[in-house]
Amino acid sequence: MTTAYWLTQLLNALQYSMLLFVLSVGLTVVFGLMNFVNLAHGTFYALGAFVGWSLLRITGSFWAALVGAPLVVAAIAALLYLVMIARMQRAGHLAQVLATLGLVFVGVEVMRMIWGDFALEFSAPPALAGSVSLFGLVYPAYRLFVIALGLVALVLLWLLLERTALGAMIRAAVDNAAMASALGVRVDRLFFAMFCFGCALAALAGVVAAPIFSVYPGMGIEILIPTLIVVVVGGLGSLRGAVAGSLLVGFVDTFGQVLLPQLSGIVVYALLALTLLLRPQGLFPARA
Amino acid sequence: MFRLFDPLRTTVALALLIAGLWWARTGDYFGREILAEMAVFAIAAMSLDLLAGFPRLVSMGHGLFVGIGAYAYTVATVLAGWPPAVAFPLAVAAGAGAGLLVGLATVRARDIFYIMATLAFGQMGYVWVVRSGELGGDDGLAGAPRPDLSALGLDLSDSATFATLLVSVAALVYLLLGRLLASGFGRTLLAIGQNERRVRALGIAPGPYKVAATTLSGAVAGLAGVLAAMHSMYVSPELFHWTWSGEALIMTILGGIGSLVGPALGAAAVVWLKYAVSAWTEHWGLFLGLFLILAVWTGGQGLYGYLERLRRWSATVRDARGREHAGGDRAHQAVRGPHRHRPGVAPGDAG
Amino acid sequence: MLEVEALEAGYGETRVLHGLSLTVGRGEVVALLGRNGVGKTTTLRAVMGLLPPWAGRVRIDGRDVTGLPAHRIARLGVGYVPETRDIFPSLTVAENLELARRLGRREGPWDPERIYALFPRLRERRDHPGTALSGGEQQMLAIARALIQNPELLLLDEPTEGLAPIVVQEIRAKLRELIASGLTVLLVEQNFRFATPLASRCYVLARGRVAWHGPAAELAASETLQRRLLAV
Repeated sequence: MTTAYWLTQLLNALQYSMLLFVLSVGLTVVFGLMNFVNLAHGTFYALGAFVGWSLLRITGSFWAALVGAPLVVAAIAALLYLVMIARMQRAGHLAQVLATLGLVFVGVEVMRMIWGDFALEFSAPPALAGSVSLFGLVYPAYRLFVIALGLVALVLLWLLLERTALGAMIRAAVDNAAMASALGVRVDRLFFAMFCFGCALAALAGVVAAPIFSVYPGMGIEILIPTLIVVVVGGLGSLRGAVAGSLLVGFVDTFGQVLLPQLSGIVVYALLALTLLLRPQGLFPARA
Repeated sequence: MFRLFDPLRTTVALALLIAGLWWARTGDYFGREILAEMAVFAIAAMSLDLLAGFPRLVSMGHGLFVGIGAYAYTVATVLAGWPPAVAFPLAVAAGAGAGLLVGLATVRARDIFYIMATLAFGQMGYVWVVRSGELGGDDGLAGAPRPDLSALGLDLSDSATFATLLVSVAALVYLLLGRLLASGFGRTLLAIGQNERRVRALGIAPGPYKVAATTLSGAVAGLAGVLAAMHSMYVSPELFHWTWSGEALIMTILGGIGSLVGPALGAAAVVWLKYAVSAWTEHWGLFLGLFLILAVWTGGQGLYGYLERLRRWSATVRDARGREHAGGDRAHQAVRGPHRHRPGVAPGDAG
Repeated sequence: MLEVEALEAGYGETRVLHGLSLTVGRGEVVALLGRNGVGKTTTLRAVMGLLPPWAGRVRIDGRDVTGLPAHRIARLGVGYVPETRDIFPSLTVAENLELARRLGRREGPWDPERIYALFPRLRERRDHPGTALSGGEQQMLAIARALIQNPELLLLDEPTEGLAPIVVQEIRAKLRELIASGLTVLLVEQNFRFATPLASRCYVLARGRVAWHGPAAELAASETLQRRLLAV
């Protein structure tokens, strides 16, 4: 095992972490606002990948897919929210969560109907198709791009939440929704906006992941669990929690497979069980 | 409060039992296979209702218990070569043990945290089974035997006998869980689901009740797993997958959460619909998802909830007619307070 | 300014308010008194729109606002200082105030400069997170956060609860100043000795209803009334 090998694993872990971060940040903020978890979050991730695949075929441009798919998915999410989830407000959050479970089943079938059962090839843009030499190590350029994209998203989201009036409003509503509304915050509208924004980010992650994992209907069902683990381990509603959770899950999973191949896949759950037992509120909960 | 011998509940339970027994005698081979599957799902859904319908522990990882029961039975009989008479109680105990552990680990989790925690524990089982070589990984394990009950004059390789046995076991589970839920233990579980803080204020620690309920639920789900293994003589890691747990939850909600007989009805209805729909489309999941959304949308009371509403409505009509005959009394007014009883899926709304 | 008529409200199945009526005139300071659990805080929450009323009417400036969500009521010019203060812990003192100012969107005498002049301590601590404040400072920030919205009516819930006597003195002095500036206040208090000198009229609640109402001076003067209504 050489230094280059470990460096490669490190970059792999970082790349998976960044993907998880883009996926989980919307979910955790929505959770912090309304105690609502969207079980169909992974479905929007898969939908993003499929819509991106179609946009790539139509326009021939990866970048059009990268920008277009999140917009299309956000519009679909907004529609679903308005016709379904918003109308179930009085039934309680649990009912809304169960409705999103229904969406998981519906979503998989709809995607199978439109795009078929088989995994679709999704190639990285030509500019990022090759490999890069880095400290004597050869690493795929596309994966470096994923890491960079995740870092950019992280910085932009941090600026949004910490440095803008909208961000202060979101933090206040996550801290105490009732008090925020008593000051005039429209918490329901904020929640709607964050729901759509979170789904757009999930779709972005879907497009970004597509050249690495290819595109298939079950991809959303598979990614949901690690995403939820990130949210629980990191703590609900906070950006710091999403960052910490993503890095922990990404690194534990990647290095778990390398160091403990016989337990591969299980270590992440051990991490979750440990968190639930020792720190059930997660590492950095928004509401301490 | 849960009453086991409520007229409507008893009518539905008896109707299901009689229909099942009659179908086991008169149906064809394929029909009996479906019937056995219905009975297995009915037992799993009733054990889930013990958690989701009463203390409102809406588990999304119930497949873990079912899977552990099924695998424990298969491993003990096929791999270890033990007789079914030993493997059977062992597998049920394994389900109970898993229930105990999950109950202890999730005792502080509530609502959505509980959903996520159970979801993750179930999925942990899935990954573990899929990755393990000894358990057959993705392919599952074949060869789980049906016990030899020839001493009792029963030949379980006969599909009619086997289906009859499974329907009878489901009926026994119903009676057992029903008795339990009608007792003081059941009342406490229901009170925890309605208002955990008030239960605490009364000086009762909800934790041990929740853990006990989860253990028992795990045992019954483990039993369902054993029966599933015997039924198809094959076990697959799909039992552990979170979408399987989601399906069990959908059956429970569609049938009527918190009514015990409703989930059995829901299991029978969903299994029947699955075969009916699959005959002309491969997109059965689409219907399952839409059914769930529809059920939650319309108040989450499920099929049993509709039957209850029908009963109330017919009682109102009868009552109004009686009054008319008695001599022009005012029309009957339904009692509607600001907080009438609504056994839906929303947390803490039951009055 | 505020009219509450036959209000009924509660939590879950428990009814707390059984047909409560009261009025607050413009420029008036009205105290809502009573023992623990008679429904004082519930009244404020129902007026603020944080608790949907089961029955009855709430009017602000003659406009029926019953059942409106809290953010609409806030925008009609109602400021709310909850008993638990509810400072946002992830926001600094300055951010707490800035958020409220932006949401207020109402012209009036209060701007950050005047707020900091009234509460110099908040200026010193403007970059501290909400969690790093003492109880008294949190109370000041909660009042400041409501004031900066230039409210027409201030709902003030137990501003002295859990504070040291010297801090209570300070808060009382600040409130005197505010009242002198002509602010309309509905003040909830357990401690009638704190409330009666500030208020012009008092309502005393018992079991979710108004048991007595009249001039504050009358309650302050009559020990019989105090014993009967407040058991002191």
